[in-house]
Amino acid sequence: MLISIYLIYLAFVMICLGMDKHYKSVMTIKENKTLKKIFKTLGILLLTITFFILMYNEGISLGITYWIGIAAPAITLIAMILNYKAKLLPLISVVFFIVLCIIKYI
Amino acid sequence: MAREFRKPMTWLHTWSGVIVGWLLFAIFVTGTSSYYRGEITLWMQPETHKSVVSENTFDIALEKALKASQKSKNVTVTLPNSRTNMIAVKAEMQNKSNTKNGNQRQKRKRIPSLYYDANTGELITPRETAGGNFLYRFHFELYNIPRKVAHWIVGIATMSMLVAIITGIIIHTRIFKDIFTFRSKDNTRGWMDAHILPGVATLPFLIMITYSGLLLLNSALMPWGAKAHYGDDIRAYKQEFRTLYTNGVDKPSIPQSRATKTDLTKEQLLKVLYHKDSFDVKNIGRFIITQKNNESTTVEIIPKEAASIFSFKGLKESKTFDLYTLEQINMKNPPLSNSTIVNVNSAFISLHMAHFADSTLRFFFFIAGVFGIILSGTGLVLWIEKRKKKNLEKKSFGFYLVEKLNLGTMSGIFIAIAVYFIANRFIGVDELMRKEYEINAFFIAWLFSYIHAFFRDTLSAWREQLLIAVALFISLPLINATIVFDSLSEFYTRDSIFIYFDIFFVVMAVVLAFIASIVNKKIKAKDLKKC
Amino acid sequence: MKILRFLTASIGGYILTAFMSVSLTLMFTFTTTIESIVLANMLSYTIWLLFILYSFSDVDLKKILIQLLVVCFILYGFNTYFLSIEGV
Repeated sequence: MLISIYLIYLAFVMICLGMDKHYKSVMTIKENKTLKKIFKTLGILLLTITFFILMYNEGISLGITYWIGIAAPAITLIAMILNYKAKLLPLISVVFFIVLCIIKYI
Repeated sequence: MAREFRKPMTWLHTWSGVIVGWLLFAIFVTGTSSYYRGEITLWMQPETHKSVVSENTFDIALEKALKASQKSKNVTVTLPNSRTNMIAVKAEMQNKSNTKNGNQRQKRKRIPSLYYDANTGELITPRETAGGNFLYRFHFELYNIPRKVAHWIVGIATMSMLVAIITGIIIHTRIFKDIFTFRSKDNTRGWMDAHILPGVATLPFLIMITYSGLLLLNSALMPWGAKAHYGDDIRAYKQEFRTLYTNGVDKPSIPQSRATKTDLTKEQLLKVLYHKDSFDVKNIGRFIITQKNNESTTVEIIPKEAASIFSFKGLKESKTFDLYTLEQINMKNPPLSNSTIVNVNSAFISLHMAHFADSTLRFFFFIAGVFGIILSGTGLVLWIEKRKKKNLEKKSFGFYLVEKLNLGTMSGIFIAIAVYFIANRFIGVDELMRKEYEINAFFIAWLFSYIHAFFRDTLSAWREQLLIAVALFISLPLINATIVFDSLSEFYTRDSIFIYFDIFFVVMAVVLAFIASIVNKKIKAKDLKKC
Repeated sequence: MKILRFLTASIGGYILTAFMSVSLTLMFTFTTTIESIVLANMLSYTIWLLFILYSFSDVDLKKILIQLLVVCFILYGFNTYFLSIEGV
């Protein structure tokens, strides 16, 4: 479950980095069309994978429910970060991962 | 053509939103709190707070089950789970009353549950309280309004919500490009983003909750199909529906060997509960012991975790075992119907009420509900923000009314909920009309919020009411600790449900304080402009 | 006058949907009447919504009202005839 939460978050981060204006506000690396395409494809791929992981783990109906339920706060969180501290997005993603690892092992 | 379509859609979105906006806000708030209806009722009954799950819980539950089975033929025992910290025992007593023909009829009454402490097995007598049920009923029946009328009012509000959502999608052309956009620096655009972002993020949830809300109010809004075919015979309609609803259930099989009926013992019961085909013992949520007269005794075991969304309150998945032969004689795996249409209907209704959800999944529904609250709230504020400049030139009564009602509804309902909880702690246990006093406190606080809104300058009134709400919410954990705790250690030894409540009160206070600080900034900016 | 459109959309739409839901129960050929009633109920809100969106499109209000009256009349006749055949 925690892995799915992180993967959905990561997928949305990838999708947002695939967009022009968000890429500009976050990344310091020069704009590259292929890089953005890779991000977008990776993001959509990750979303699909987590969709099937959740369906496999929880059953079809509960899996879809969890997927939609996790997507909503993930999108909002990313939008908040992009608005207030866009440059910190990669750092926050790493910190989020560490926090989830700590929660898992408590 | 598309651009010309957007203008009337914008008009429709604005008006379908603003006319019922306040009612929708209240419906969203009470609906979101209803996801934790049971927990709210528990919190409002301090007698239940001492019960904590321990190693004795399972044994105590078995003892109570056996004791109750001596007097009753149908005993239901519910073990503590993520949503409740007590053992509940429901024993059906058959009330035989003679009719004219001398036949004995069974009276179907609502059977009350007895609650036991999960650690000591003591009987708990919780006080009478309006609890989470008041907020739940308010959500779709409002209060003190005839049921059909209330259903119609809520139904119209729900239909307006559906229109608002769909027109919102139509007018928002850059729905995927702007999905992560939130511009807090710009005033009008900021409010628009604050309105759109939660909407788009929870779009599937919002469409589902609105449509399923309409389906739940079917009997009031669209009874015509049933009336055309069944006339006024609602019972026949409901009976046939029930048959269709469960037509996929296999009939229980009769055990091959009939063991002689001996006394119901703990060892035998343990054998069934630890049966290899049954659920994992840690996952047993409820077991029902039914002693039939001539046939054997059956034990129906229901798990804690639902395997699908079709697990309803009265229709959960279960496995039934014969107590003496230890054979599995029945298994229920919702959805129990063979009909796809009925299953689609059930899916919608089930997702709305989320009975299948344990505490964690319930939290996701709660978050989605909060997004709905933010959506309706920001929508109302956006209406005001967009017309502020126009109002400065030419004062409009409509603008004045919307401004004041916004304040009264939005901060008012939160103040009312805080007062409702505080009143629960202060009203004496022996008061006969506890429920009514709690509900009255709720409405009086809300009314004061409206009165205050109309008498004060709007921005200052916002700041004052938000600060009052902060004070009320921050005082709740303190009042709770003072009145409920016997010793300070109870702060962390109690069940996690009540710890989450304290966390919720603190978070609410912080959020309201944050909003109050934003309003404060606006007041300071306004004062600077005047100077 | 947007208000008239609003009234047509809401009240007229409701009347249309009410007739439509009964007609749908008669048109569907499922094994049990309950299934057709449930499906008709589920679809009725979508029909109402579509009519509301239609009445706010480019079409002239008088045209909408005439279309609404004609359709309701036809559906009413359809419903009465087929319900009387069913023997209810």
